[in-house]
Amino acid sequence: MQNSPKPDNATAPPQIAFLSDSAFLVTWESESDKQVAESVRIGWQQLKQSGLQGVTGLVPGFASLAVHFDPRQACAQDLQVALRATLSTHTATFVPKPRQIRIPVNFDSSVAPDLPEVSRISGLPEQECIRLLCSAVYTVRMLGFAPGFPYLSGLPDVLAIPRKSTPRLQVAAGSVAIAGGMAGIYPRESPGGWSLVGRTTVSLFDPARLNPCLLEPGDEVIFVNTGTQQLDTRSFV
Amino acid sequence: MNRQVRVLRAGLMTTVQDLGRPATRHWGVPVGGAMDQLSHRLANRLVGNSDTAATLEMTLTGDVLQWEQDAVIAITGASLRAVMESDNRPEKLLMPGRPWFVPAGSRIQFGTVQRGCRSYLAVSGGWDVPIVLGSRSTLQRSQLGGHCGRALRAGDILTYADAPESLTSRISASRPDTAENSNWYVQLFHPPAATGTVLRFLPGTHFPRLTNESQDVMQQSEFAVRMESDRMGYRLQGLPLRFSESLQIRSEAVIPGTLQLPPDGQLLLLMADCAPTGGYPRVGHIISADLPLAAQLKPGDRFSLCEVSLLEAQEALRLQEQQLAAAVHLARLNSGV
Repeated sequence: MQNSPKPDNATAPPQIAFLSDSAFLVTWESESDKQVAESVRIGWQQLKQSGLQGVTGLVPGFASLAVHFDPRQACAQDLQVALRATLSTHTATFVPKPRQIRIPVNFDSSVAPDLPEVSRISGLPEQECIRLLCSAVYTVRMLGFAPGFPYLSGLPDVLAIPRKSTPRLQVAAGSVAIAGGMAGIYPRESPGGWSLVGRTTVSLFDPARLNPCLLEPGDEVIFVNTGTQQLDTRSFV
Repeated sequence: MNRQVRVLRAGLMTTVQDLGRPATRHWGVPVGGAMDQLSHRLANRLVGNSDTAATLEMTLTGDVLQWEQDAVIAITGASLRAVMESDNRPEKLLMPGRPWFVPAGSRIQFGTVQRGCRSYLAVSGGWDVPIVLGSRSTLQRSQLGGHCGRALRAGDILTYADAPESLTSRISASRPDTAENSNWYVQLFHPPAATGTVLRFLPGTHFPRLTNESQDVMQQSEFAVRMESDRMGYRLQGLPLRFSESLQIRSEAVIPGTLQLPPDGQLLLLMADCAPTGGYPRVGHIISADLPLAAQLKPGDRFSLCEVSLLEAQEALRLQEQQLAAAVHLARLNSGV
């Protein structure tokens, strides 16, 4: 894997606040959403590598990183000091570049029931909506809602549409969806309030697999239109 | 060799649980595990298991179980009647809070919970179901882990691993004399009554954004657990709480014990199977030491909230761990193992 030294970025040190007596919420302040996302990713990697005593789980969010610990095994006050030290380390930590994962998506009208509405709201032809969806490089900001469901930032602004006023009771597994300026993929059949614009056959979450979750926070994602004959593969090298 | 138990009649909702899946929360997987982890751990320790062994969590009504081989068990948590019938022996009432020897061929009938909500049944050796994402706990919503990802049904066959030999032989050797005939048991806390329970909380990130009146209401009024409550969380009914100005937040980390305030002003108390992130403001968090008590509340029960400091929360947990260790020590002395 290709490694790059942690950029000596100019962001202020994170705030490390208590979230109850068994977790911290680490937050970064920045004007730029992209910078915040990168700080969360780097902070997550740093803490993963540091293996602090008593830490039981690390959960990246949109603009924060939750550090869960067992209060029976770690003194919260000591851990807070250790977190501050680890997160301000600028040397000796190497953070891998984000992985880039291509996800084939079928945009056929039979599996993209909300494309006409997206087209109407955005004022763009459906084919242009599909082209835009496939031109973006998305970032997995966090996984939630259901195991393996990625919240993807990077959706082109013109495709930012609100959640549906009435959620569907059943959304098919693999449905690619957009809402509130984000994209997402439903790992399994579930209710859902996002607009469905395509479907993938890729399995996002399978507990029986060696790597149960296809995507990790910080990964970059590109949708590849399975209906497009001439793929521009250069951008995926 | 694996040993078998047959479910003759299933309780309302009995699931296999352990300490859950803390390490896969970043995949959107709930931490899950036993709702009342203190009772889960006590049950395990009473039969010589480690805290990570799986127990059965019985909700409101228990199961009827047929035991094909000898076993050593313990029952903890909500109080419920458990009666053991064995061939050629009188019926025996199994008190919670101590180990019991179960001879092969016995049938145990677990009744309805008298006080509290969830009872835990540990078997020496631990309930044996496949480990999924590092845990044996059942996550019903995702049909994952536990026994086929669901609650037990009549006809199910459960297996448990071989007990540590020393313990089984010692406890079985001690029957039916002194250890079984005395009336001792250990208990760490009284399961909550229908009213009067106090849960201590730490103020959440958005607590200061509540109106002064709502901050007072939160601490001075009672909340009822509504019917629409489950292992994911409790919907509470009380005087509505309001923020000084409307608050929109992005999804952020939550944990079991988090008190969320949705726009309707009625608190949500998140429990074991809650998602790792949530989009409602967080006004408080029940302290770790009081989560077992919260887990024993059932729909209709009423409780109040009391703000404490982090130091008080830490001291409460330290004390609780000490009481757990002392109870287990006492149990060892009494059972002579």
